[in-house]
Amino acid sequence: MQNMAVMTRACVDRPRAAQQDRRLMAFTVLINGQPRVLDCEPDMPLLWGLRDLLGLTGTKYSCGKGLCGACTVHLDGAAVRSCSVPVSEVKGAITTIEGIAGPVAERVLAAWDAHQVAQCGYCQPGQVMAAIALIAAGPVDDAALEATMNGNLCRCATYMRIRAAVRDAAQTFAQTVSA
Amino acid sequence: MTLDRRGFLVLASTGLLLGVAGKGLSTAPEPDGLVQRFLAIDWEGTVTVFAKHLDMGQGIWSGLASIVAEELDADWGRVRVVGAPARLPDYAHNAFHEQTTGGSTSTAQSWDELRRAGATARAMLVRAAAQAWHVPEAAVGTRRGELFTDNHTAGYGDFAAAAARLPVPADVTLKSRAEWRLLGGALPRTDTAAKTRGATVYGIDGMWPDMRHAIIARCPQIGGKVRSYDASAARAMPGVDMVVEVPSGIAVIARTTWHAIRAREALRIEWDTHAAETRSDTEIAADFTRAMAETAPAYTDTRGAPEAAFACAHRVVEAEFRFPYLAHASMEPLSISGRMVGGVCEVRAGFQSQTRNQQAIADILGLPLDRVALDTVPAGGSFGRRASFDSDWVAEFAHVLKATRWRWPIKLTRTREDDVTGGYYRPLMIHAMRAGLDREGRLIALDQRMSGQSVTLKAPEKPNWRDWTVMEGVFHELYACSNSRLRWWGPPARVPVLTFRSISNNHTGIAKEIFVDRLARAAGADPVAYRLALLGEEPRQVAVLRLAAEKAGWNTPPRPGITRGVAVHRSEGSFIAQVAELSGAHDDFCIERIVTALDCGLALNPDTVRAQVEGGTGFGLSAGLYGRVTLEGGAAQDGNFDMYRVLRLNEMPRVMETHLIEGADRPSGVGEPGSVPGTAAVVNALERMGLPQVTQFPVFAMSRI
Repeated sequence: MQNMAVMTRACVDRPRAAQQDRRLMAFTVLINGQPRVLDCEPDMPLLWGLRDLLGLTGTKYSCGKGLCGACTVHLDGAAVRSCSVPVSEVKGAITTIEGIAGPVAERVLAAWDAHQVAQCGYCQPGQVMAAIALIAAGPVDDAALEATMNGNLCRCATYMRIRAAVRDAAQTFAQTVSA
Repeated sequence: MTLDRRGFLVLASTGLLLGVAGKGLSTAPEPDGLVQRFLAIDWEGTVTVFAKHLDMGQGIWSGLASIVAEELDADWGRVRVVGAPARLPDYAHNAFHEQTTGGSTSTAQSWDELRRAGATARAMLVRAAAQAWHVPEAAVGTRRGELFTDNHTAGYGDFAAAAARLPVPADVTLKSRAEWRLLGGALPRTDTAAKTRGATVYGIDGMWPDMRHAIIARCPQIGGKVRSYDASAARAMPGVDMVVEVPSGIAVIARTTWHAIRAREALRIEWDTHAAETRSDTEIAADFTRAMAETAPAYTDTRGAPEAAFACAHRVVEAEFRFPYLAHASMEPLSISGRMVGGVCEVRAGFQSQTRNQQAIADILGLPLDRVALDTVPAGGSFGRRASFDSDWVAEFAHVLKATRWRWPIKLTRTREDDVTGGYYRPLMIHAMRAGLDREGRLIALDQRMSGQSVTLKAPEKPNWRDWTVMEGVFHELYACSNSRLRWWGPPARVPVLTFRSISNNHTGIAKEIFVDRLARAAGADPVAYRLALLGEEPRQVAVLRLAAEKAGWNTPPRPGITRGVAVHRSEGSFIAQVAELSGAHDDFCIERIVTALDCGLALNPDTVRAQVEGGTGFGLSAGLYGRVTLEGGAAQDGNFDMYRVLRLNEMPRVMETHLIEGADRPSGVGEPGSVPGTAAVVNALERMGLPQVTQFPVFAMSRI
């Protein structure tokens, strides 16, 4: 199911908002395997639809400009910054931290737990999403690890353990694939 | 120690006992579990620890829980932690006498009371089981959340309610160290899984039905207020419910955060800037430097006869360091949510100073204290920002709630730009240092001057008061020099300043350790040996410095292409030395390795301690190498992470090794000490690699990305 803007369903439960803005529409987006309806303007960033309309608060706001990676989600498996993707331009299936599953996700989460990566933890869902997309895309060397994970800020500077966890998860996943 | 019924209901009403107290709270005269000040055990055996301190990433919730769990003999897998309600005296910090978190003191000052709390609950469970089983208490053993005799086994939950009906023993026996099962071992944090999976609810994640989202427009010029405003365009924006004035600016209340952010751009506000800061940070720094020449210091401490000693000096070495304003910029921007329900104001956030925060809300809303319920949830970082003495970010929320007549639950969020440009910075500080060396290069005279604001934001309590928030960690006090003088000037500025990880040590320690390294170079001495000679009164600093040097192989040459730098410090009751190894050139380098030796007394969780050293080192490097808030015309220019640069993964050391020394039988600070010496160790290596002597921080401007 892809980004169906169902104009006829717009604003049924928000008449006052509809009076304010004729552009308010209902966008149906496939999120974590479920079609979810977002009543909003076309240019609302996916981040705020997830957080404020759907209550999927595992996706974090921190910069709003694609600079920190805290809001990273998957669009058809690829990492995207949900703060920089308008709801109307979502052409594919969205996976948030609440919906991750599968062998790569399992290994990444297990590595994050084993290395006790999280401190304040606020950036970690975004780190995990970036790491899953990276490992799922193919073999990970240190250059690829840095190129990708450099995009995700951590003020607690848990970077030593992020590095170790990504390496670990990539290695255990590669082993299962080759086995 | 057990709560009376009222206390129990207060706990329950704050939501603390959700899932703990069981059914029929309002009608059941007896709880069906054991509820005490610091812990509750429900009928299923789940142990809930009430943490009076804020977990802002340092792992203190797990740490506090592990102390309780050790003495309780709890099953660690069935221990959870929630924030304690705001209530004195139950949850007061034992040294600060109010409910607050800071100074890396949480573990140390909770140590005794939490051991007793765990042991007391255990003793009551044992007595309850002994009575039920008709055996002597000595015949009842405990292990991993279970009570047992040769003939019986039961879970803690089975006897929690019975234990609650027993008198609280006046005295309990604490475990000997040989009996510890949890402390000192590799214990996973209680919060790892939820944080990693996005399940942790931070202040910014608060949600209630019908909740609205607030964003405030504040004066760009720090200290400015609203003179007049026109909100007609903003009110007409989609999703906007209300626009109200609050003391700090104009608040937009909307359907989502995004609607509020967008509508804020449509506000037209005229600012009253007569009380606002007008200077650039460069101008402020120049004024601070001038104050040292033209005005009397606020504090002077003199040992011996420094000027006479300088007259005898063979050589004089001078240095000046300018430390910039820094924003804490935690990943969770300051945010807070709350509502008014049944005459009680419920607020949720990562509260770091609960007593002051609660009082601020009560004052603004005109409520008695017991009608302000704080739900302290984990903070997505703080680094000192949430500890503001005037509760600025909490008070602002109370004003929004008041201005909207608490019509909806509201969440107030700061954008990243609001968070970085909003003031409450690490103080801009000038350090001017002068040292006299004798013919052999030994330090015989020191003159240290500092100029900058104090975070205490108030007049000294008495003349020549040693303001520790400014002076803790200075060369004058940490290195032995019998002829030495320290002076501090506190010139005025309208930029609010605040505690920042390790308070003053984040500048005093760095200035000290770079300066002493230059003295060693001037003396042609080995930098480790030179420091050791000045640390006569500091045996624990000596020990960590020796260990770090040994583990780094200091006495053998580094690999070709590697340059070493070293630094040592003490802060928050702990002692730390770091050796940094750098490769490359001074303008294009890589930190290959940092070897740390830390003495934090008793390390309750060595892995958490190492994590704090690693993260603290990265945090300190971020500040020292890249961090600066730039002011122009009194307004911060660095809105987001594109301008306010923070350390990224590739800038982290390649390897970190942390070695622990147990220099005492009690724990001391861990959250802050790791953030201090790293910058100095790296700068010392860089200067040996040819970097011109550093005079201001950050060492690198934006260009080195």
